[in-house]
Amino acid sequence: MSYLPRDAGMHRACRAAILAGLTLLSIPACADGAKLGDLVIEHAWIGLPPAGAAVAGGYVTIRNAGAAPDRLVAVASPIAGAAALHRMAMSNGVMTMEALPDGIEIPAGATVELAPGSLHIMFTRLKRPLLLGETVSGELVFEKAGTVAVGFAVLPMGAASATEGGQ
Amino acid sequence: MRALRVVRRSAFVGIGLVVAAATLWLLVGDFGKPPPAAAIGGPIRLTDQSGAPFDSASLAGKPYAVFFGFTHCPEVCPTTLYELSTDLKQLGDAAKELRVLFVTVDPERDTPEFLENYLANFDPRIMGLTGTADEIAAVAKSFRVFYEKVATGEGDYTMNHTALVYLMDRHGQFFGTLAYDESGETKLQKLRRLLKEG
Repeated sequence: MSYLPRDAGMHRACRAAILAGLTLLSIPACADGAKLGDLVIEHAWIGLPPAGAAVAGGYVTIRNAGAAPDRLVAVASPIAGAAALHRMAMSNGVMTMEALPDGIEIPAGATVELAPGSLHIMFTRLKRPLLLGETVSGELVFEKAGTVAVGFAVLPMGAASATEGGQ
Repeated sequence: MRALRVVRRSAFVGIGLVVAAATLWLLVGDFGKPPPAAAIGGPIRLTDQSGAPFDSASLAGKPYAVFFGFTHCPEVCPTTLYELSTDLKQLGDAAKELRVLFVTVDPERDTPEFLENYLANFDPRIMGLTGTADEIAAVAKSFRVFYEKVATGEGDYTMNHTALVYLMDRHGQFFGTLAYDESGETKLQKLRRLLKEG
């Protein structure tokens, strides 16, 4: 395994997606990040939800190489009846969830990581069970840059990040 | 007569000593005691995932774990159940009798049928429990568990809730907790200790 790059988990998932012959749209986000103006979108993934679950958490890393801030305002995917932006926090053993109706700011020159334990995409009303290793298509909508297609790699349950892939 | 007086006096002194000792015992005894372990946890009488009534009294003599959560939960709940499943597998035969009770804080959506379907993804030693809003509230209160509904727009909602796993000993007394952000190794050690000493 030593010849694999550090983000081997992501590449594995992407290869699986490509082999499965999924949409071309999902490939750019997998390979070296989707670009939309000054934004680079990388490591889009979903933690495999239990079969029968109605919801799933989605994560992505967004880099803003530009000189002006932008804002992630909406997400959509054909696998979910709705998708919203939420922030989770843990304090004194209590988990709290906060809806972010104004979206998530991507400051100029900054990288914002949606990751377990904090900012995430909340997919609700799932229309079908997700499969480990598949890539789920989706769209991210930014206030200024517009809409970009991304492929969310479905990683093992309990995965802590796109690169770890699991525990 | 004199002998009688001595006897009577000795009796008074004796009674006095007993009263003093009892008072001292009550005072010191109470001061020295740690808060009662019974303060966290209590009987759990709910409905299990098959729709049958459940009473934690049926677990007498066996340690168990309790986790409060809900199935419309994107991360903490499935991850906790997944980790507990992995731990149970790793503990093997030693944990054959260990039960994990997953008590929903969202009885509105988590019906027995939904819980049964959801928990089929995890170790069969994890049992799903639901009930009326009042029944859930009573159990949560006895564990000092906090939960509340949070509106997320378009009529949807999510839940804030205590995400600790409560470990209960074979007498149904509080033994400890597992916290979400503790390392997997720490959690496994705590479970081993529960099985050995709880």
